[in-house]
Amino acid sequence: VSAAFEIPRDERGHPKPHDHPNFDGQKRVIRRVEDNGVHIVLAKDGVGRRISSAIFKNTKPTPHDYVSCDSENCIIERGFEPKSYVADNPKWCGAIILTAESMRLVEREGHPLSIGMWPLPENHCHGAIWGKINSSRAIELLRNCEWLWEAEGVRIVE
Amino acid sequence: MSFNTYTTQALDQRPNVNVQTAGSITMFSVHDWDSVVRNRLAQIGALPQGWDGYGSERIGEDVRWFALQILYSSMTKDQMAPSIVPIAGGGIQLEWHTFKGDIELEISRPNQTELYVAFEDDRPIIEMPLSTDFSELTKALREIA
Repeated sequence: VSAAFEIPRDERGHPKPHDHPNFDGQKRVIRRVEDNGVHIVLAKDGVGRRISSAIFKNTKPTPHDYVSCDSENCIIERGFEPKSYVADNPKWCGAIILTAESMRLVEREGHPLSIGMWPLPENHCHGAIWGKINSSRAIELLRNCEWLWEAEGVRIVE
Repeated sequence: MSFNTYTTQALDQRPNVNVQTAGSITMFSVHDWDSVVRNRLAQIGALPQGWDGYGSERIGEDVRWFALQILYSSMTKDQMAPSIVPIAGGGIQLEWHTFKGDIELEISRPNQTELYVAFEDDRPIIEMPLSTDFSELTKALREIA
């Protein structure tokens, strides 16, 4: 089904916001976690570490600006093992995963999300999440996540 | 401090110094968190184009400078330094997490921010845009940080 889906594109050839079958229902969205203070902040005890809600944010939510993700379904269809696939670069220290259905639970009237594919030459399973995600929505998303690849000593939420 | 007239003074200039005069004695004090915050903002400013692995733009000096100005106007010298993280699209987020609650300030660009405050008790979550008046942040910091 996902292979037959034609990604809508703009005049520059960039994907337009859309919902892709790779992100239907129980199919899962992967978000890679970067260390070095990019996605990880101090926890409440001032010692431990947790993921920042910024991991699901983009401060310029235009059709060309989105939050990057990976499609677990695409990775499996291509014959790869999801955890190994996303752990391909030392810049990443972990990856969180949630179903597309649970991601849509944070949609609000007037603030829809689109979850589609944005294939890149180096990552054909690269996806995009379009739409404004504020702190409360991002924290709700984190609560719906589990580890695909656990970042050592990091909590998803507190 | 007015946030309508912020300047783009370089972040690597001398730390912000409070000057107080008592009789003939002039006292200077630097915020405890000053160097931590400046170093962190400098690190974020050094992130290259595509720092998130997917082509995200660099975090501009105007955004970093605005963040610093907000902190100087909202925090006391002995409050805890925030965690500071970049956001895809060129923004910054300031975060304080303690057992009293959570504060997050998303700065998209100068004068365009969004405050999130969740107290540990059953008070409702505060989520509001802020542009020039950061008194709600100051109030939350007094309780949480």
